Amino acid sequence: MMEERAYFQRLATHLASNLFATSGKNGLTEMNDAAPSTSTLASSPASRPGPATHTVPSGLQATRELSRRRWLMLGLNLATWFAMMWVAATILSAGGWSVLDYVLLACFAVGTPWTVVGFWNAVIGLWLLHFHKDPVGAVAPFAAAGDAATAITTKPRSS
Amino acid sequence: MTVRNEDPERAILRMKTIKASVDATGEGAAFSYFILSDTNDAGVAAAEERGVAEWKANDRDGDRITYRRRTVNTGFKAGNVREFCEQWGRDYELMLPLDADSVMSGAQIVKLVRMMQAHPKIGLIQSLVVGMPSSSAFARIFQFGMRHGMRSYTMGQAWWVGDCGPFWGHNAVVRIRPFVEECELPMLPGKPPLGGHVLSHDQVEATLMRRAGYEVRVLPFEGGSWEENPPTMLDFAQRDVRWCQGNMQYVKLLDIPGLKAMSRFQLVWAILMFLGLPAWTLMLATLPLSAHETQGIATFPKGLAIALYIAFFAMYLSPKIAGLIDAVMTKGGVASFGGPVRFAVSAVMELVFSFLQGAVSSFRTTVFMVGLAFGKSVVWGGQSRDAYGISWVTAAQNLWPQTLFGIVLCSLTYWVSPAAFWWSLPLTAGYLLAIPFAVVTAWPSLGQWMKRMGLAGIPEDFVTPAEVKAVLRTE
Repeated sequence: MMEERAYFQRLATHLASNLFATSGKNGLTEMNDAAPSTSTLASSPASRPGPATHTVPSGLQATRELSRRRWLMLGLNLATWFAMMWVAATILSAGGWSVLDYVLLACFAVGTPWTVVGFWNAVIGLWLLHFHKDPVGAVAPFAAAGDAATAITTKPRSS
Repeated sequence: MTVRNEDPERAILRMKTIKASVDATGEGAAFSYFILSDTNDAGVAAAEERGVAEWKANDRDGDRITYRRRTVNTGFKAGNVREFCEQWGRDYELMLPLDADSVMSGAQIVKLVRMMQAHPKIGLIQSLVVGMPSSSAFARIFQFGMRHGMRSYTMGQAWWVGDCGPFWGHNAVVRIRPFVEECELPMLPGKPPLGGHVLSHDQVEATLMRRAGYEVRVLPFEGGSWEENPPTMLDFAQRDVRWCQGNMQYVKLLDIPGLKAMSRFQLVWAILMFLGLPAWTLMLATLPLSAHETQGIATFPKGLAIALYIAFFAMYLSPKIAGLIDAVMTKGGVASFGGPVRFAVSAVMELVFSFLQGAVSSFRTTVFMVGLAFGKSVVWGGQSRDAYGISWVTAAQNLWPQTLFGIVLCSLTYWVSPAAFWWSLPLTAGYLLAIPFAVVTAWPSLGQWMKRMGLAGIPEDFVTPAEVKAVLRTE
């Protein structure tokens, strides 16, 4: 249990410092400061040198654009989750806080995030499918290449 | 295709179908086919060998068809795929892992390969896998809901997940070199069930692929990519439990160095998916207590409690609601599900079904997670994927805990507060009805009847693509 708690603490730090650090400069440093030196699970691909870019590796999307979407998603979800927690706490606090009230609030806190994210995924997805002018371009910019009538050149190397 | 003690004839028929479909695109010469067996049943193994030998003999590209069987299944399915990579990976740039129940169209495979070819920094593209027409009532109703609900959900998710996407282990194109060099799974410290080999390998491989500088993408549109769903409640619960064990192992993987924060989030998310289940079960289990406590409070904000309950339900059901709206708004959407009457009846049926099924499997998984905390594991074997019945005895043997829990919970709640009993019934009915639910949804006659009526049909039920037709031919 102690071990697992340590993982979660480390994780919280990573999330706080790295979740949206996607600009070129931060993107490069991210790899190094995320590496706890004591881990034996897998080796880090060290400080992989690469050009500082403002896009994802394929060059198909700007990191700023993806970062903006993630901030929006985080904001919507946290706001929704806190609102629900606040209402739940208001209900549970009626007549004072018992042990059961705390247990229920904790369960509610763990049990709702999936529902909240599912809700926003569905809302955003529905908006993309029916109210966005180019849903494929926004979500799967790589997909257009599938329709180009190019021959497959990734043949077996031996042939 | 990885296989383990599944029906060889069915698996090989799927491979033959895929090959024929790929050959029909004119790009067939770029593809080779591997059946990677982890079968440990001697009879099944012999049938696999015979089947592939016959296929090779009758196909003019027999030299591009390979059968390989491991006698020891080190690392389970992930180990099977890795062994393939080590033996043949150098000869190919891309691979497309398939499960024994997977089917894909050649057109879709060629499209995915073109995408990978055009974008060398994409390491993996996951296709949106959908169910195939089924004659099991359980599978039909389940996949009807999945089918319309997953479009909006996956689209929305892909919008913000972007380059750190999901991998479901099959029906995806993978770039072999970075997969071999950078996605080797670590051995987890400690003893099973949580230590040892990584069981839910796919999402871990996806995060390692992204760490290596290659994007992981999902193509959020259905088309040309199929699988089968568990035919009964018991199979479903078993699969859920297996996924639970695999996802809970991620607790030990969260500190892999160098992961993108988004990838790390994906792992946390997979854990949270299952941590939520005992939380809900505990909330329900304490319902008689909380109902009792509430009665002593004169100022209890009843209206607010009802509002929160309804708001939560609306959000919980929102992917389904969005799916229904999407089908209605899409031209030909409702028609592809068999028209408005069938669609409406199926939607209502699926709604009820999802509550009952949710209660049964969340209780099962909760019990499993409690076991997990005490080091209890599950057996891994081939799944039964054909429609078959469940006897009342079998159902009772498997589902008496749900039933007992439901009876105790509901009678206590009713005794304390009839109102609380009625309000909670949508959530608790699944416990009470677990046994009849499992038996009835497994009735072959019910499934056959629904199939004839086109109830809970997916678009492939009404317009069946050639590949699906080919593999369902003998069933």
